[in-house]
Amino acid sequence: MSGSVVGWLRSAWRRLVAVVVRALDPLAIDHLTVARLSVAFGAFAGLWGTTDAMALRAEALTPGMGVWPAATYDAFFTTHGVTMLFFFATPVAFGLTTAVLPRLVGVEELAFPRIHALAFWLLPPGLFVARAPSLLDLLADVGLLGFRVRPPVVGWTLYPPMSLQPHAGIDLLLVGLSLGTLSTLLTALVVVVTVVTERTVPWARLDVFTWTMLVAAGLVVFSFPVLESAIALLLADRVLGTTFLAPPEGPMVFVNLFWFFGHPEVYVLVLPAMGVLSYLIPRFAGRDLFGKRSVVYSTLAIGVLSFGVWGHHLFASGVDPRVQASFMAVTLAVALPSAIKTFAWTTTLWNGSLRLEPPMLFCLGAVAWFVVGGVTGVLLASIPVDYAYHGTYYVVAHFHFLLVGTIVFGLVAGGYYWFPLLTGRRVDDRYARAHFWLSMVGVAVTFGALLALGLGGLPRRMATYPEVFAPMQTLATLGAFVLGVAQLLFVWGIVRALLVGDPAGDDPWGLAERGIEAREWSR
Amino acid sequence: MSRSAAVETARSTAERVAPHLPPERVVVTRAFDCALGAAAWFVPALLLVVGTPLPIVGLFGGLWLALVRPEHYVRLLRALGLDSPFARRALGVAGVTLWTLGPVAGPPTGTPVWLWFSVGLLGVAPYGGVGDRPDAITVVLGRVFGPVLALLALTPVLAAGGLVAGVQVAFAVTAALGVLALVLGVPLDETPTVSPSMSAFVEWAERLPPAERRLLLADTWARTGLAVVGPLFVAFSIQRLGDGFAEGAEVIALSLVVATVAAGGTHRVLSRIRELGSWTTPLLSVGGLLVATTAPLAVVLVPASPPAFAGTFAAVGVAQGGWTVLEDEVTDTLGEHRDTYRAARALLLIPPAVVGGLLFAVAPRTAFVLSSVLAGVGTVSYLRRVAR
Repeated sequence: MSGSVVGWLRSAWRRLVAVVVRALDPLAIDHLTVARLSVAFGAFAGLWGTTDAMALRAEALTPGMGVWPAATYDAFFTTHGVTMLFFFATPVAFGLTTAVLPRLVGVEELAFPRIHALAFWLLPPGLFVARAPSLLDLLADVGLLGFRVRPPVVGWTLYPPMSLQPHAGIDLLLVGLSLGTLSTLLTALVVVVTVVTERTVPWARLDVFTWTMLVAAGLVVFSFPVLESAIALLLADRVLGTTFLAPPEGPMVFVNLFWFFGHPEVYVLVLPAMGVLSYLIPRFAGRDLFGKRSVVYSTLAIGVLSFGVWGHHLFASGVDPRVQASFMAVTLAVALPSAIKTFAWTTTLWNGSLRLEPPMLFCLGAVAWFVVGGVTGVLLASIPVDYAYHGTYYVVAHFHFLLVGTIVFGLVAGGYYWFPLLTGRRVDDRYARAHFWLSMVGVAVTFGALLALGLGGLPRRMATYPEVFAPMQTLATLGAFVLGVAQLLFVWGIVRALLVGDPAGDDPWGLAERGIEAREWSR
Repeated sequence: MSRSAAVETARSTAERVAPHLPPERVVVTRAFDCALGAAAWFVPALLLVVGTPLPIVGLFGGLWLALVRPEHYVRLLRALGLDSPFARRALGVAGVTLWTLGPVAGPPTGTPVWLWFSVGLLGVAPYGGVGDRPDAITVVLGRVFGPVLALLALTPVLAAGGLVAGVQVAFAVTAALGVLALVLGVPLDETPTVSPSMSAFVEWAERLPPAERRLLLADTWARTGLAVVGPLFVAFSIQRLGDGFAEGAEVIALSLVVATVAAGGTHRVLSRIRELGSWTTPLLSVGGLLVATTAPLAVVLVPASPPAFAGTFAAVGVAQGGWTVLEDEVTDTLGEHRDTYRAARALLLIPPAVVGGLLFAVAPRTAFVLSSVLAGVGTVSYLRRVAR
């Protein structure tokens, strides 16, 4: 018995070294290696951002000032938002895409593989520069640094005039963000060019995931340059002394630019998850996707409409009521294609022979949370409701039901499903199932409690709050911590699979034996 | 250590670890136990901070002492369908969750915070009595590493957030770890059933020779003394170190680290000391009893400085070795009446804890002096036994 344990430890160690050495090969430009790096980097950033979230929730346990000073709390929600949106969700979504895309469109390699690799290598410096203020502040706290750079406290939206104040941390954040934005833009260009010009599969036979990612990449191509421009203007004002975004008109210019990027960004993140759902649900329901054509058209509709809704973020900023009404109409309209997708998914499930493998469990969870997040979002599209709730925890709950419940669940579903493609191994089902159920409980408790707090009128982004909200805040923290430990279990499941996981084989999900076509496993 | 001995140690460790692989279940269970243990030290102090009347804090401590051995009421648990390991751990998690909610849910709902903690204790105490499990981490890292790690993790949280926020964060993390432990699976260890019989015990005790009776009296007196201030020991230490409870909790957390390390070190060498000769056993017991006598006084009298309290806690840690030896002596003497004696003793310790709380309300130092006096009576009783 002792021999088997020693042997297990020895083989695990060798495999760990091999995985690290292979993953860190900076000269590799093949799509699979770069995709592995992107996903691993995104997971690392995700854990970092999750730590921020846990710190935020720890503070919210007590109504008064608790574990952190108010400025630290503000810094945490700034870094949490930036890290999760730009350095976790986007790299993971495009990492999974670039891993599988060549096989789905029938090519050996992505277009511009060097640009694809370059795009990835912009991410680590981007993250570490953006997060440098937190790290430097920590080093100063423990006495290892003679100077101090305070973390920025401007929120992920970077609104001026707050973001124009003299602060080295904001400069670093903007530079890091700029690198992350450029990285995403380059990756999206690679995806668009690969699908449009390299593809050997005819349009009519293109799978629904590729369609969705093509639209998501298109959104990036049209929206991220606007963000890059807004960041450039901010940096120019801060460093060169220009006044592009200075009061009185500058801030409104910035918020319009920012949300012209910001709302398509929501769909840049949610479309990959929707693509995963549309792709995986039929595979584990044993049926073709119901209304595939309508699903593709709904994706294209989302792509177009998403550029016409940014004004709903500005309802409370004094915009002309007629403009507000038009944005409300488009925002309500964008719910229709989303509803079409939901209808297609549920109809595909109807009378299907469901196999509740881990990817399918996460898909079902994602659909459920999408309904909750979608309905709460549609209500916010209404101007009077938005006036009442836009500054409260209601908004936090709404977008976290989507960002965590739908996007993270969707990406995790894709992650489990394509893990054999990335690594040749499978994650043990027991860990994946435990991860799923803990995450479901965590999302329900955390964001359900935040929703209740929002309906109670509790303002968001505040480190302190009236005592009457404390029980619900504590419940939200308990749920968040459960969600947090669930992600530790996820990481352990992945690490364990890399070390001692079972080989996945050529048909890891048993699709071929059920007569289901899956190009990614076909060679 | 020679090469062959090292290989042999590695082999035997591997053999003991192997049945517990995969290790994540062991790690999470151990993390839950240690986090719960670390945070639980500060519960009475937290109750004091939120304005709980002192006698109730004492009653709370007494209830804890009475409930901590679930084998005494396993029939009740069985009748309620709560005797399975899963149910007991689920109760423990529910209890910690109530402790997390208590300080914030009490005031708005108009229920006293101590009520939340008392109901939570009904779940936590039976779980806390499970005892050490022979798991892989315990085998590899010993019994000290986990508790020390948990206390070290708690220290900066207490320093940053103060007592209430710090301990609440610890409870919330503990509850999350408990949920994870439940999901990963529960080891199938069963609670042993005991059959206490008071009449048989009394009949047996009446026939005891005086020396054996003095041993039991020494044990009972010393434990009674400890029960008087036990629930308030950490709370009073924090209060002395800082201005009220605003500061000092992190120093006491580090002092508990010192105590845990000292206790672990003492237990490591205990068997070797006992092998030195027949005189070592009474010497160790007397040492433990002397610390039980002097430690309450020390908490009152030593300067209010971190080194002084660390020293006091270190002495308490070392004394754990003496208390273990004394408990072994008692167990050897009791034989088949062991469980009855323990059950009776657990109930007996409730009133002293309540009295301690009452006294603490009137004159805190008096409670600690009384504790020393009671433990001193136990020490004298033991000395009379060995001096015979």
